[in-house]
Amino acid sequence: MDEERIRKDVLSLIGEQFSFPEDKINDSLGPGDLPRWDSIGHMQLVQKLENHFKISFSVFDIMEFNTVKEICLTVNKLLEDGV
Amino acid sequence: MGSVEKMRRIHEAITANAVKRPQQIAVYDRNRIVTYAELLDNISPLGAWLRENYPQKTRMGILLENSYEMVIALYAVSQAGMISVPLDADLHRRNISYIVDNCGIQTILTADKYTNQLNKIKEHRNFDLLRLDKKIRAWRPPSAKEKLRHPTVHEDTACILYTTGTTGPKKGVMLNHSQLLAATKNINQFMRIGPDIVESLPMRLSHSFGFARLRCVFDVGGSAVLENGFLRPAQVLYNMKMKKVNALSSVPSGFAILTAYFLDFFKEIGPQLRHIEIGSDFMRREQKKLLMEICPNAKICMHYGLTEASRATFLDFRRDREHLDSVGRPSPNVKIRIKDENGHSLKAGTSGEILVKGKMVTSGYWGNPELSNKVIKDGWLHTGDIGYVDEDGYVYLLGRNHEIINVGGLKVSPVEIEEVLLRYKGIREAVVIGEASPGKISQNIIKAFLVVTDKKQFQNFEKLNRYCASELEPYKIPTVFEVVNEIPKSISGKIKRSSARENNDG
Repeated sequence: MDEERIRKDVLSLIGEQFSFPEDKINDSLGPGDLPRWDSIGHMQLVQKLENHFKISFSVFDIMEFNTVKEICLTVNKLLEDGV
Repeated sequence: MGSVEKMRRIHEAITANAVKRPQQIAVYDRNRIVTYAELLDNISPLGAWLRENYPQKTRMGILLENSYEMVIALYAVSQAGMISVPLDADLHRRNISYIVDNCGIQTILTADKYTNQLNKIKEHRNFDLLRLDKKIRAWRPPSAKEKLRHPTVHEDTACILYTTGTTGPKKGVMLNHSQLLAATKNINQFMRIGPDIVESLPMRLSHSFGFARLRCVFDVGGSAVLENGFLRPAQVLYNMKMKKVNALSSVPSGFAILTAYFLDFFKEIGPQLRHIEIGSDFMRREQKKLLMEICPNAKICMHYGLTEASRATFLDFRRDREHLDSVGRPSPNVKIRIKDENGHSLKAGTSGEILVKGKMVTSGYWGNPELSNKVIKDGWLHTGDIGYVDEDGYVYLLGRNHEIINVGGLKVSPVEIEEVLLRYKGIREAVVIGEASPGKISQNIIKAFLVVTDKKQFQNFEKLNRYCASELEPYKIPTVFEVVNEIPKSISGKIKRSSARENNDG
């Protein structure tokens, strides 16, 4: 899966999880920046990403999820590593 | 036990520890580590500056996230003999404006990230902003003369904490130094923490739960590790590991996040915990048992209380293993009574309204003596909560105050959301209820039933969602909208929220 496709899917999952228009989500957004992006919503997003991309995040991966950009980078890395 | 017995004002805990254990770490905040000596050095100049520039009893708003600045603000305002009014970091402008007007806030201590929002409110109101992130190092030390001015007495109101009212606007719960110190004493007497405590504090310091935890830690000269909720739960756990945290306080949904998504990591850290305090929401029996397994060395305590009467009861999971479904027994120095609607005391096992008496009970609501007199009679707080006490003295909670919805420990008035929804074009009627979330985490979500003029306009709720996001705090935005043909009403035309809830369950 190429980087652009991963980003598109991540934005789509974020939009779906937080009921927010995808075209208004940018790379610098992160937990707490959208109305529904609270602690539980954040963990539900993590689960959605794992199910969608069939990957498994470590605690340390999740610690890096401060922005949309960092989420995309982590997903990309795990898919490349085949984790 | 701490030194709270001798104290008359809350900030004296900082002074006492700065003398007794100046090099002990008081606060960990991200990359900052602050000792008690440094903490006092930062509080005192700000306190003196406030005293010099504002009259005593000035209401000082504090709009800050959990941070070192927040700690400084809370204690400097106390030291200056003023009244702190903590404001939630995610409060909607409308609610901040209401609080500013309600108690006449003259100044808000804040940080850069909130100034845009506050400047908009300032367009129609007259108050000052003090940016603590900028000025915290610039305050000059107090002179000896300043130190002697305006002695605060323990009956003076120390803070006003705003809570959600069921139907009306938010209520400002007034707490004086004696009441705050009494709550601290009761909690520490029950939990028996010592100066070796290093506590992770994810709960908001602007709320009764978080502020009381901070006072408990400072009372014994321990260390507080500041966190901002569980928005970054992995970071909370990582900090617990790295800073050798041995105590944790949270609402049940915080523990649910840790057990549902980070079980292995939490199991690794669990044995290092010696003290846990849980509160503000219902916790399932199996969650309680799981927590005992994960944290085998911890005294795990759960409280029932209100902002008006902090920690009315305590349940010790291990000691009270046979009564895990109760909210425990009255806290030290607290009395509980169950009364019927005519004010008669009820015998064990009979349900009625829960009344609480103790030195920590509020003196009343700011600017609302009528409500204060209605709720507090002869020192007894009428909680509005329904429950009973069993033969062994354990309190069982059957229903909380009227219609309030509890979302992860945050109290939400359905009426406030309904009023916002009714302002939206095309919505004729609205009723809002709380229902259990279907996900892995047991927590209430908000569901709104709508009667609309044209169903075609409500085939999706994207626009309505955006509207709600602009008008409500994030945790108040309904998760589910459902268009219905009618909403059950009483003969007088009043919405029957209980019927909507029953129809939903059915």
